[in-house]
Amino acid sequence: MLEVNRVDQCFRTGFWMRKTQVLHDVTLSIPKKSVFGFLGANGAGKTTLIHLIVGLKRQTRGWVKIAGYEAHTPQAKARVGYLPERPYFYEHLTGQEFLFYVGALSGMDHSQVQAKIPQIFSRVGLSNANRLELRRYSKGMLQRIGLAQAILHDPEFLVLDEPMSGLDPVGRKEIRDLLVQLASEGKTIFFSSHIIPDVEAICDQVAMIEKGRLIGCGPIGQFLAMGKVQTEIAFKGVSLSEVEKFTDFESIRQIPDGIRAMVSSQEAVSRALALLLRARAQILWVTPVRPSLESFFEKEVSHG
Amino acid sequence: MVKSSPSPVQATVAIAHVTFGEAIRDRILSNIFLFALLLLGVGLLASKLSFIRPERVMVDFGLSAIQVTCAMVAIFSGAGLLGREFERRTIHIALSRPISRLQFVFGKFLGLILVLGLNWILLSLVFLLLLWLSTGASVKILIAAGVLNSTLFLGLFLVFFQNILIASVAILFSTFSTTAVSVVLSIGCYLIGINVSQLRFISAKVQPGLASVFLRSATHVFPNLEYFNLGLRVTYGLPVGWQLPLLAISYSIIFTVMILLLSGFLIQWREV
Repeated sequence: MLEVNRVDQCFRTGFWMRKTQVLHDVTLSIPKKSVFGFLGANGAGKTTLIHLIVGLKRQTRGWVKIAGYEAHTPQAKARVGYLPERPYFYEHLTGQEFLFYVGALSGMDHSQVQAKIPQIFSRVGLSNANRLELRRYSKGMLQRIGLAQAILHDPEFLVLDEPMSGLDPVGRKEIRDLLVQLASEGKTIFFSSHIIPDVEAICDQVAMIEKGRLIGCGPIGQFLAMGKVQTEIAFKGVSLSEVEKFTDFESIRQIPDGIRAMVSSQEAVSRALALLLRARAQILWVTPVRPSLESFFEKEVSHG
Repeated sequence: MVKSSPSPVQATVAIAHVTFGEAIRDRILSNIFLFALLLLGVGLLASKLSFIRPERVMVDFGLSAIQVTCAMVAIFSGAGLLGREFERRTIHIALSRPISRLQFVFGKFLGLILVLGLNWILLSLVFLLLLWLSTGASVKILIAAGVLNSTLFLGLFLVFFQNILIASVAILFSTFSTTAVSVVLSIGCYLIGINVSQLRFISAKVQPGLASVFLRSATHVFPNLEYFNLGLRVTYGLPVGWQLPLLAISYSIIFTVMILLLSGFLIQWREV
């Protein structure tokens, strides 16, 4: 659906118009019907790349194609639904008027938009706010109306810049569910986020960007498999000094109920459990701790 | 899935509609409108103080007030029209849709024209009402006395076409500068435009050199707004042939189209 090939992006800044490169040789591709998470710290170049994808900017080098069309062409834009990072809309319009406006810009006639409005508002959880002026919307509501305008014309490719920002935990869950639902309808979703657990929860592909360079891109499982799988064992009935003699434990922490210890390999888990049982310890739980995307991201950023 | 692009008319009308709605809520517009009413009121007062032909005072004062305040509306609304879209990033939603930047400029311009038209109609109606009040005579008598004459209406009509041209100039400046800079540049352009013959006169009088070349060039580059000012012909109700208004209207339309195309070209290079 999306192909970004060897893209560089430069800006001229300051009085002397000095050239600043913000994207360096970025290449990625997103297959149809996938949910693609785009991670990066503030200023890493996420929004710049998104602006190239939705045709708001033209890259200095390389190309960006959507369904085979250059991203700035009307054919590509007609296939895209875009939610900006901080949704800035005309405050004097009501939610409904705003959708009529964006609908017209997408080639929808008045009756088509009218027919879709109740369904769209209910999907984004704004059923009672369609006649309210946007100036009266809260940040979370603006995020939702932003999402509503992005899906209004039923695009096959959604580009969402921080769709969960400004939402409370319930709102985040609702938007996450909506994205999952949209993905199940066959939409391709590309979204940037700071909130790594959100990306982990719904994405099947991820890319990470740092200082304008992609530091990782591929199926999410590939990143998670790269980390070390650990197991947490919690137990009681054995003193801390006794436990410290067990060499298999990588870290030990006392908790009100007893002791929590981490072991790294499957063999070490068996050995540690055998030793604990021999010492007449009472096992509270044994939980595998899989590596998170966050730990991978933190590691890459600190190395970079 | 809706895969079609909007027709140029559909997109332009949608953008114009939103622009109109936004502009008429602008506080600066209502302030200028109140200022215009104040000026017209002063004109009425001045006419009451005049013993001979008070209606001429009212016509002179009223038309000047409409010209100046309509130009202010065109400049203040036009200069912020595109700059504000970039500063507030409201343009992002529009440009991510299958429309061109030129279409966006045309849509914004059309919305502005609607605002200017509404402002012009309202002020003209208030002016005619005050003119009627200043004389205290019936409309029939005013027509018979030549107070309400075709030149007066033509003068009012040309104010509107002058505004279209000024608005397009303000939009041009807003494609590459901030709102404040666009206002300053547009006011400068307006002041040059209404004084073109004086500039020509000065350029002929000064020593040949850089200043003379600069002044002469300015009279050619900047739009000549004197075409839209009928001056004393309105005050005295003198007849005007069809050539002058035709020339003024054609000048306004041609210049405006050229400036909008240039704006559409320049906005391609502006970073969002």
